[in-house]
Amino acid sequence: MSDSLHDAIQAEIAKYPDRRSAILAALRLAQAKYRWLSPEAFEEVSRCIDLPVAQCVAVASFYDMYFLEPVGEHVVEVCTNVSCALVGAADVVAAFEMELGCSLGSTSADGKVTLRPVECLGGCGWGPVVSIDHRYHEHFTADDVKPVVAGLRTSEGGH
Amino acid sequence: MQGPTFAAPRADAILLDFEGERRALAQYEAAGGWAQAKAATGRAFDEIVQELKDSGLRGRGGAGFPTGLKVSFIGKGDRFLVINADESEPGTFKDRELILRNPHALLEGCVILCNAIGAKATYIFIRGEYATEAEVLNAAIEESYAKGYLGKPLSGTSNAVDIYVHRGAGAYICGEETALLSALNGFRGQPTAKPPFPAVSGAWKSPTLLNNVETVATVPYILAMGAQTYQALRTEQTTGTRLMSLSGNVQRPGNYELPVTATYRDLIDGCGGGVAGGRTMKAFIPGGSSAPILMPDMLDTQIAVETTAAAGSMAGSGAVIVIDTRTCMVQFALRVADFYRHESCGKCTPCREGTRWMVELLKRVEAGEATMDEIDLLVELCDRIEGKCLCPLGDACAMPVRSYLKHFRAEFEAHIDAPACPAGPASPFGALYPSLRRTLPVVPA
Amino acid sequence: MAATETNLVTVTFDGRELQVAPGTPLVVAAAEVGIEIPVFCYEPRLGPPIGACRMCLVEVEIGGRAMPKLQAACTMTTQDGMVVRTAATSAPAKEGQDAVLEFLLLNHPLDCPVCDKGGECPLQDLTFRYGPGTSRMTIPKRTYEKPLPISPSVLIDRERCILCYRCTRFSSDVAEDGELVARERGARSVIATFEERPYVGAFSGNVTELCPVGALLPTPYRFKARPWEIVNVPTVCTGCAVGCNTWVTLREGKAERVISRNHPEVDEGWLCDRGRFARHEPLVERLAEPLIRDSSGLHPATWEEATRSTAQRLRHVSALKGAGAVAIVTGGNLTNEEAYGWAAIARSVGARTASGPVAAAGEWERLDPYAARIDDLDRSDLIVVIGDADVADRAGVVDLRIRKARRAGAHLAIVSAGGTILERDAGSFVAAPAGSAAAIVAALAGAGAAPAGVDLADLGARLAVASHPVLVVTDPIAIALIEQLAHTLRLHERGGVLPMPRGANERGARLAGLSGGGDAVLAGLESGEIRAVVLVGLDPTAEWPEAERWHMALAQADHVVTVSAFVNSAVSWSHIVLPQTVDHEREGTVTNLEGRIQRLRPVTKGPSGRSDLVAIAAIAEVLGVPVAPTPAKVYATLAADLTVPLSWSQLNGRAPLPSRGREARAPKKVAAPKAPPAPAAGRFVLVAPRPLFAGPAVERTAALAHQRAPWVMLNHADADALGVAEHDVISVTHAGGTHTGPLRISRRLVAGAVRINWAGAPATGDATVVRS
Ligand SMILES: Cc1cc2nc3c(=O)[nH]c(=O)nc-3n(C[C@H](O)[C@H](O)[C@H](O)COP(=O)(O)O)c2cc1C
Ligand code: SF4
Ligand code: FES
Repeated sequence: MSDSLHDAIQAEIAKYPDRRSAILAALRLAQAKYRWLSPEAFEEVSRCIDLPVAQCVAVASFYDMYFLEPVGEHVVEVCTNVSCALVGAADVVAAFEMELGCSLGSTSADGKVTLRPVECLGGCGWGPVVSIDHRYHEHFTADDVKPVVAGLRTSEGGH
Repeated sequence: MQGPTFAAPRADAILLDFEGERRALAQYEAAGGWAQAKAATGRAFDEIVQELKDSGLRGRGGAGFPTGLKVSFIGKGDRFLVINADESEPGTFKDRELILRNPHALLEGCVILCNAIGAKATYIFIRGEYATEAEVLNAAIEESYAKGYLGKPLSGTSNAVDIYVHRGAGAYICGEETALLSALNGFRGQPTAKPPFPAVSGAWKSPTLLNNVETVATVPYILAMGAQTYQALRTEQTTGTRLMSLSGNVQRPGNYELPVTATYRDLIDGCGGGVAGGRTMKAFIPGGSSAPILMPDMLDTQIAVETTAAAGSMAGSGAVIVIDTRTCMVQFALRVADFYRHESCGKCTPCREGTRWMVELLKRVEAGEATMDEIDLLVELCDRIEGKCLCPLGDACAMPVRSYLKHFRAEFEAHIDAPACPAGPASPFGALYPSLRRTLPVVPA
Repeated sequence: MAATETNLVTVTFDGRELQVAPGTPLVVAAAEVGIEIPVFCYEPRLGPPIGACRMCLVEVEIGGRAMPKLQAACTMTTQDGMVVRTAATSAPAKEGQDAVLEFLLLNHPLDCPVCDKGGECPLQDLTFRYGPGTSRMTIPKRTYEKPLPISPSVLIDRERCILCYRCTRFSSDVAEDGELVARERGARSVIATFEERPYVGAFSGNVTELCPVGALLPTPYRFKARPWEIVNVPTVCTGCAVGCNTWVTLREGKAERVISRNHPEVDEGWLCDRGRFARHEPLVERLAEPLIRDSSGLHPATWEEATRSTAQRLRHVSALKGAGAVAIVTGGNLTNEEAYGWAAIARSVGARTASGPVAAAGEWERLDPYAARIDDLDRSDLIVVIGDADVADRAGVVDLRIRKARRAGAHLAIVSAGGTILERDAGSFVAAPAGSAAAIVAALAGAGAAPAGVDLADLGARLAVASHPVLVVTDPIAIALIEQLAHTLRLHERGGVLPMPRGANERGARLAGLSGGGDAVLAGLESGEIRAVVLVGLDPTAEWPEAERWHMALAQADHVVTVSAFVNSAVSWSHIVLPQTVDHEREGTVTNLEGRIQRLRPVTKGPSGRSDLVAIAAIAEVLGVPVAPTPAKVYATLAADLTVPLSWSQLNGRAPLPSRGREARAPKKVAAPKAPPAPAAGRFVLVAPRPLFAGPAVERTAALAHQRAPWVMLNHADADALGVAEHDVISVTHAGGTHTGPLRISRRLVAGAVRINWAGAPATGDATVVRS
């Protein structure tokens, strides 16, 4: 049994007066380990935190950052909200779609990169903002897409 | 592609009166940091509350509630301080800069407030996407523990304060205080009915003080300069400086710390250098995407809470979005409404169903499929959502859309009459709706 | 505490003034002046109101100042001087109501004509009364695959769901199983279970009654009836000793559905799935006619022959072999009147009787001075549950009431081998060796040492200071021991003991004269002293401990008479078989665990067409004992013996529980029980209490099969040592046979114990565990 996840979750539980509060962290840790939250991952989280598994899914499915379906090794998220859109986010999206050969909301054929739209990331003045494996890249332009995708295609999964 | 760009400090800045970053504890101490937390240990709860009341500080999270008054409401029992670092209102990115550049100001503010209300712990609820920011905070917290500012009582108090970072996972609604507390308590991040108010029953059903990052980070500065000095810079009902997030079609976007007496023109033209590319302003949004839109003739409005309200909008989170004339307001409305639809938590009926209906109607208008009646229906839909929901999210969708319909009704009608988007392909939003785009004939700009 | 004149506030609803306690939800206060504010999500039994549906919007003015927005009348509470305008008098409130109704109907399929809820649906009613009539919707409705099973007993139609969250609140905040949840966010939210797996929970069926639309429906009732063709008959569930009040829905002579008939002191409107779904009809293997054995086997006989033959054999054996050669063994689920009849028969032939497996565990009357009522739980500050069996397995919905008390602030302390459903949320949990309930009770009473390694100090301290402690012992231990503890704790002065009989009417049966335990009868049969035995509503070889011994012993008897509703293993070697009725077919009274006498009404007739009491009266008549064939008459005789007699007609509606004297007498002295021995190396102690979902009716109900899916539970350390993981298929072999099921790992089940959810007959003792 993989008890590093169990231990990491227990450490999160220790931060709170009620173990239930550690659910977001527990799901995040499980996703970091398995890349997405499979039914088995949910069951493991449920056992570690002693919360019915359906409750874990109820919480996870409420949020945008948990993947309840398999995703690529890398996840590229482009903010398409108003501030970024006003300064060219749509062009960045189009460039990613072209370069990855898949449309927004899907994964490249080689399984390397999942491209998702996201709501405002809180970088509005420095847009367009792209988050790659949960790290921000500001002032992102369509010209940045090619080298970034090339880098992702050759590197191991990172989120 | 580069990291965030920080604007140079202005002469009257308080929170960000320096260049670059002040992440290290030593830097913060060198600038006089942590002195206020130490000095405040001898002060009674009432005294701190009075100081905050005198300062006129109003919450920077969006509602603009007087902070001193809020602190005074805290109920009896084991108390908690919770910091709202969820910052998800489109256009807003100020708390992020504050955390990246001046994290210790927030921590010091937390300790001051915890000691004032006798809370043993602070939970900083930071939006999940802010991974780097969570790391910066954790590093700052670690340094503060090592220095003895956290985890043990400062001399003069018996209260030891712990600070924890609690990361969200991508849900705008968690910025709403009761939803944030649901999420912190380990439930779906849905708002709950008030009463009970957080001050009585919040984190783990205990009395909870909940404030925005900027609000709390301002507290040490107020204590340092004294309430009187802080409030000297004021409009009738708003005091001090506030971090304004400037974005959209503007020459120099970024966060600018301005006195509340400044106007939107000062911000957009003065700090931001005016509309980007020499284009013309169509309209601007003064307080985040949920704020009703204002036309350029309102630029001389002061950025304070009451002045912005008087102009027909709201100061909200201090996020100003500049829109130039290329933008199709139907597409803009659709994009804004679709954000709130996506973020509606699904708990109450008018918000859950109303935002979805509104988006579907706007899609029909955008694609030229709607009838004129449906524009009236959109207005009625705003009536049927506004003021009827469990929390303000439904209003946050209806209010701006209503304002677009009011100021730009002709554009909506043109989509039905023409049927084509008058803005044409130049609208930066056009490409976002490829499925709708295809149904439109391309008209020259 | 009742509101006194002085702390009332004045509130005005649509011009009607009202004095009411402050803090009353506006919907409740409005109802007091006859104003109905429509609601969907409001349901006080689910906990604090959530204000989700917004159907109850009203205009509110406090201290002359109008509140800026409409307020939800379910979450807003009364304050002095409040002026409330509902949709009847306020245009904004009316607009709010219209808006919400329009939003709710936006995606609703409006398929009332084919919906089982049609005719008894709040959404339909409110739409009819307040609705707009037309839809302005120009966009497509949300569609979902439908109906989907939430479990074999509950279906969901997501298109009809209005997302009021009643069902999920029930699951998380009442039953606390957390299995039924809302998934996704916003308009995409759906009600679901994990991976669409069946909702396994003893109380899942309640969601079908809570759902205000036709989204959650009981599968067995699907397309069965329209509201205008049914009659709902008030009766009482005899699935266990709680005696939940029910309506049985009758259509064309068939009982199609069971729903709650809320008795606030008993069930608060909840039912367990056993009571709701364990259908006795139309079930297979019902016995329809009497049978008598001759040399070639069992043959149909007339009632007249069978009852006369039964009487004659009993009289013959008793005359020949003397008193004590006959035994009448009952399963604890007779009506009081039937029990009275059998007791009269027993007296006339000098028969021994038994109404439970062990005599000492059936002496409920010893607890009378200390007996708690079910609603004492509401007032308790400390609830102590001792035993390896779950409360839900003994007394269905009492589990929900304990949870409610805990949520209201009572401390819940559990002492058990672990692995029960109640312990996860307990305030304190003391792990004790399997089977040590008796030793624990004795130790707490100061009459023995606690089992090794069990620290009862904290619990003892809590018990000493609690103002209203309620004690629940779920395992069948000697009642005298519990009496001793109750006496020590002075539970006649504060709190009390909530008895947990195994049979639905074990208490009533004893009072009517059927005392004694199966242990003595078994010994009598084995020694040959007992030659004739009547088994009434019971197959001890399937339902009682020591099944194997019973089997052998019964085979030696000269005469075995079985009175049973179903074909069971005892039937095959009985000499006379009398068909029995089941609960919806019965008339009479039953006495629940509190001692509350409630009335059963016959909804349908059994396949034999004859009431059990008529058959009993016929046997009695042959024996020359007068037993009236009508329950009302027998009850009148019985009631004369009750401390507080209630007349037959007083048992109508919601039966009261008159208070009894609480004068304690010195308890019977009993020897301190020994703690059970620890398992030998490499072996396990079996923990297998009889679960709620057991018994002939349950076993014949397809809609309950998922509740009985077998599993095996081990402590995590034992699992590691055996090298087995969650879901691995495990076999447990014990004296009663082998039980196989997927592994559940528990961190609370004590090491060295193996818990299984059902092994046929209740079993304990030594077991081996292997991966199969
Ligand atoms: C839909 C919604 C979203 C909100 N998002 C945020 C947010 O991201 N950050 C924030 O500080 N306040 C947000 N608020 C305001 C909070 O509810 C709350 O008023 C504020 O955090 C209180 O802190 P303050 O008094 O310091 O402003 C939001 C409110 C609503 C209704
Ligand atoms: S299924 Fe029924 S009870 Fe559950 S949320 Fe939907 S309408 Fe409410
Ligand atoms: S009944 Fe009040 S909001 Fe649902």
